[in-house]
Amino acid sequence: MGAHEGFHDEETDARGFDARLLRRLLPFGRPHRRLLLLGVLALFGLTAAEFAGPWLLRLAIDGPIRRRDAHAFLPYALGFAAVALGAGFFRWAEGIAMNRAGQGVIRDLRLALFAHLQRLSLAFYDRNAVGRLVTRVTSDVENLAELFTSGVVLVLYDATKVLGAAALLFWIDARLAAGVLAASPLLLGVSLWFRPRWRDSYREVRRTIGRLNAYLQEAIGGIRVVQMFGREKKVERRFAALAGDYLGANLRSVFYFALFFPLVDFAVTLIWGGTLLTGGRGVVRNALSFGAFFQFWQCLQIFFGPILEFGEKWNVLQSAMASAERIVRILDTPPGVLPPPVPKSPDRSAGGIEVRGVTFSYDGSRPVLRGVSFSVRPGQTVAIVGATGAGKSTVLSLLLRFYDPQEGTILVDGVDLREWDPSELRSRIGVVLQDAFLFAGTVRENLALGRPAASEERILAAARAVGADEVLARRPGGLDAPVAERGVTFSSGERQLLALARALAGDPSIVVLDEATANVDTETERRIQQGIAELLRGRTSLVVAHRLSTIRESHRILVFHHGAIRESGTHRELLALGGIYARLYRLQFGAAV
Amino acid sequence: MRRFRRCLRAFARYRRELLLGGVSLTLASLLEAGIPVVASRGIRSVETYLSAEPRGERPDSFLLLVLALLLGGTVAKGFFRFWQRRLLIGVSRKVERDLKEEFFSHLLTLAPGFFARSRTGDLLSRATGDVEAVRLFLGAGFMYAASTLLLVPLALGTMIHFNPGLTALLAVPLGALAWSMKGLTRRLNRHSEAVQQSLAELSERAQENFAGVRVVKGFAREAWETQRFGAAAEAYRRHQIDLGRARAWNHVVLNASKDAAVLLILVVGGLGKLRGTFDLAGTYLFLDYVSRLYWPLIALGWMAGMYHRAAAGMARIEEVLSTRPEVETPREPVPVEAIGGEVELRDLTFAYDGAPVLRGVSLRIRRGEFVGIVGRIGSGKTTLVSLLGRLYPVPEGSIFVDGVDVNRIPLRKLRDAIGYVPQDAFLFSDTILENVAFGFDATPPVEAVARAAEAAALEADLASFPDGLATRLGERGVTLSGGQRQRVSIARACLREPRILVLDDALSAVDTETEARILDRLRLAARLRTVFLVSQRLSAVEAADRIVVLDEGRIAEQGTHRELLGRGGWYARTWRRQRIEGELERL
Repeated sequence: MGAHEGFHDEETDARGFDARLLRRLLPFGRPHRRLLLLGVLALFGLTAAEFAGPWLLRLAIDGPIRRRDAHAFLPYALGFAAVALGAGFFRWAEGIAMNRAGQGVIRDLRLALFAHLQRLSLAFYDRNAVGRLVTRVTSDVENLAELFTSGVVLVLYDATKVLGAAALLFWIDARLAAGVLAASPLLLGVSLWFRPRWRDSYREVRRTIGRLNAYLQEAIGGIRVVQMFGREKKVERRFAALAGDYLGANLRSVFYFALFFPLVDFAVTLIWGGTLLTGGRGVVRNALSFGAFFQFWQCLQIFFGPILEFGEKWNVLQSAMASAERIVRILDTPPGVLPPPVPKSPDRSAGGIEVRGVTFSYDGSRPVLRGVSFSVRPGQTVAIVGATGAGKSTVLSLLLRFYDPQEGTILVDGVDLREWDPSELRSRIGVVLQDAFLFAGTVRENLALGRPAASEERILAAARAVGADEVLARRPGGLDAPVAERGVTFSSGERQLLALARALAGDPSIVVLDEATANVDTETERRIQQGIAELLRGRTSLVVAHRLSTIRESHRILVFHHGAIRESGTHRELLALGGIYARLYRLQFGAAV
Repeated sequence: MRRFRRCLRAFARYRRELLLGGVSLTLASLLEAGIPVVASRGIRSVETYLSAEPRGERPDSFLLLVLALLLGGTVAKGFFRFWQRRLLIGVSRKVERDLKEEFFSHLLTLAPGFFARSRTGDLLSRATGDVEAVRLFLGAGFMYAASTLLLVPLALGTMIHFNPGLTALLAVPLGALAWSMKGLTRRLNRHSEAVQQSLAELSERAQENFAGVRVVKGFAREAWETQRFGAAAEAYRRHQIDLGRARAWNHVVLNASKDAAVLLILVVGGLGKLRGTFDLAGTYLFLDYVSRLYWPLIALGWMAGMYHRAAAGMARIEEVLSTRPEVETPREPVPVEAIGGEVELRDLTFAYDGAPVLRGVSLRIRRGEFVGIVGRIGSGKTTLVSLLGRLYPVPEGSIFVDGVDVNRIPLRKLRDAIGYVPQDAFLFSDTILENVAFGFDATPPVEAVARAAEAAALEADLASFPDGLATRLGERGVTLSGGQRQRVSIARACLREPRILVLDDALSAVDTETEARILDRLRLAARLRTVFLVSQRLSAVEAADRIVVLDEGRIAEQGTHRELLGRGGWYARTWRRQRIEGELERL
């Protein structure tokens, strides 16, 4: 997704520390506490080695070298080598342990977030754009994991290093150390002065590259319009302007980058020069040994490192907190549709449906269904017809318990939907939605969807029954033929046939079918009609119907209008009634002649 | 290096910056090499003072001079480094921009067929990731390499002057550093690409799950989906751990070679001091040089390792840049004064690749005729109208406008005469005004735009928007309904006052009443222009002068609405079916 980064602007980029958030997220670190501990131990080992090296040198300089004792010098050299080896080991161990821990946290958190998202009701998905949610489970999770790795490093390692180095500096020579400490705000100042500028220029770079890429994508999408309108030059100019913005943002960030290192260099030289002058004088006056002076110099470098990196790490942690907040907000969203405390799952039965006085509204104000009541007897097919927005598809959504109605109840096999185990309920229902959505993978995966009941024989039988076997025969690999994202390599007719087979493969007792209106050729249309008839045969079915063939063959027809049932009855009854349905049918009859 | 020729030419455009940057780089490198010498002189003066028996004069003033030189040198070096980075990295950013612009301009010359064959994500990654890799290699990479190649001989010269033996010994760990960096960079690149790849898969999984949430919930597949997502998350974790391992190893190697170098200096320096052949100042000099050579050597190795990634990126960019446009303006055009709008198709057969989509279509359309084109999905309607403006290569001698083969008419002239309303009503994320006026370089007078908006029955919608024509569309603005998008797209075509107007199923999301209003207004202007109206909904073509029914790329029926109803074919059947559907809708 590298190319797509920067497409989603976020409302909050940085925020302060929130103890409540940290407590909420701490459990995600717990399973990895051993690795984290190991990493921290390795960090301490590394710090110790970093301090030990200069110390050994000091002892060597002030000892054997001063005494001109070549034999006594060797152990120090070996000691230094050992320290270097130790440092190498600790550095390696820290890298491995922290990375493993961090990646473990990322995976766990990602999975927990995803699993929670799976529990949230459709009302949540109606409110949140898909792109946003994808950002949550990808980059936000990664940012957040920095709390466990960089956060730990910053608090434990860097703090120890700075404090340890400062203490050591004072121990070696308090006067010199006081001088250094007095000058170090200069360095911290440089780091802090750059922090907001760096962050802003970095954000500007991200923003401009986001716009540039979005425009590039847009222009590719509209290439026909651009060419037919002969506007290549105009579009080029627009692209050049955006590329210019991006260049400008980059040049600004290069400016800060180019300025930072010389400034740091200068500040360090200034401090170092001061040390050299006063320390050098100390050495000259014999107040400070050469070795101690050398150690002081080395400790100074240990001392400066974390101070200079502080600004950058602080940014990382701030954005980690912002991501943490966004993630916790999702984790704390209660599932809108709650499973019952003691779920009922009646023994396998024929699956009668009863809808009693259901009123429902998506937004809580404009009702989509008003006091709808009807029932479907086991094994019967009921067709719903009506205009767009009459509430036809909503009935299906409620039956699948995507939402709960504000008033009234829906019973399946005499049990209120709210008392059913939701996944048990859905596993007994075969669904065909208007959008015959296919997942990337293979045809087999799409037909089986990992259901235990959908064995290979059953899939094949289902495909044969609805006439989807010809779709399989046309593809190399048959059941194992690859499916591209959203099934784009299959025609809309083929997708509908596969969706029918998918519903049948689960051997459902209830079928919920939302007929697609997409145009397909006559041959495919005929096959889909046969497939639908096969799927509905002998099963309790609720169908939002667009095909008069489906409507005519159902046991009962409900005519919806503005969220209420206007006419209801069998084909004969409705014809006799002489209402809306009768008019429709006469039109169809005329067409058949 | 030859494969980067295009970029090197681009670099040559910024000769002045490169020259100044090069001078800054040279001066900074000279100072970088000189500063340790000055510092070591200072140390030596102290050392000499301390070891002299009896003690001589304290070198206070010399130390002050050294300090002043060091500070001055650092300031000067900082100044040159600043300009070196600013100029040279700046140039690499400018070359990046130039390369992006060249890439984009070339894309615009390619026919839609090219875009149908390639994935947008892939083109996007060439324009971003690949350009980035090339820039890093040629910009930062070259700069660091140049400064390394300057600094290394200078430092080596000085070091050899002080102690040739130690210098020779140091060449081993430092050489190993640069060498191993090359291999490590390639390994790091490989792993980080695997990480990117698995992250892309992971987000595709998530994207698909969230988009298909109804199917997931409808089939109670949450647990299964979580398991599949878990597998993707685990794969990603494994690649990250591989990358982490490579990184940890990288760290160790870099530090180990530095430690080895320091250890060598200390042992040789220490022993030398013991024997009186080498002093502390010399040891310091070597230590300082090693720390100054450390990063440049790493950068050198890094650049060598980046070569493969950059070369692969450049090859992918060149692949697009060397794709020849399928449709070009004729080399020897027929001089055409003004296009009138008479269109003739002569036995037009066309295939994208493989099976023909249009087979032997012949039609003669008079100037100002209103033609309806209908037929099943996939019958060739969109292809037919796309070919009028040569969006795809048109076979010689099969489409004529005003009696001239379209392949002989200057492309710009031809397309300027056609108003095109595509099926997907594509709009830019810009204001409505900018979208309607898209066909013009300078924004036309507001009255003209308003007239075009009126022709597309857009005036009521505009009045309902907060900023009227200035309302922004897209991600940061208003989201239009499908019908509104189509009407903006119609206004865009009408504003150009084209002689030939092509509407490709451009009224599908517009309600019947508004459709009738737009069609009325179009017919008013129709005497002046030829109209091709593709439609799924037959009511839209009812009043057309002629209706053409396509079936599997052939003309199946042709005539007026009355004639076709009387024939009782596909048109008559579909007409009745759609009336019933209309009744259902109006319940």
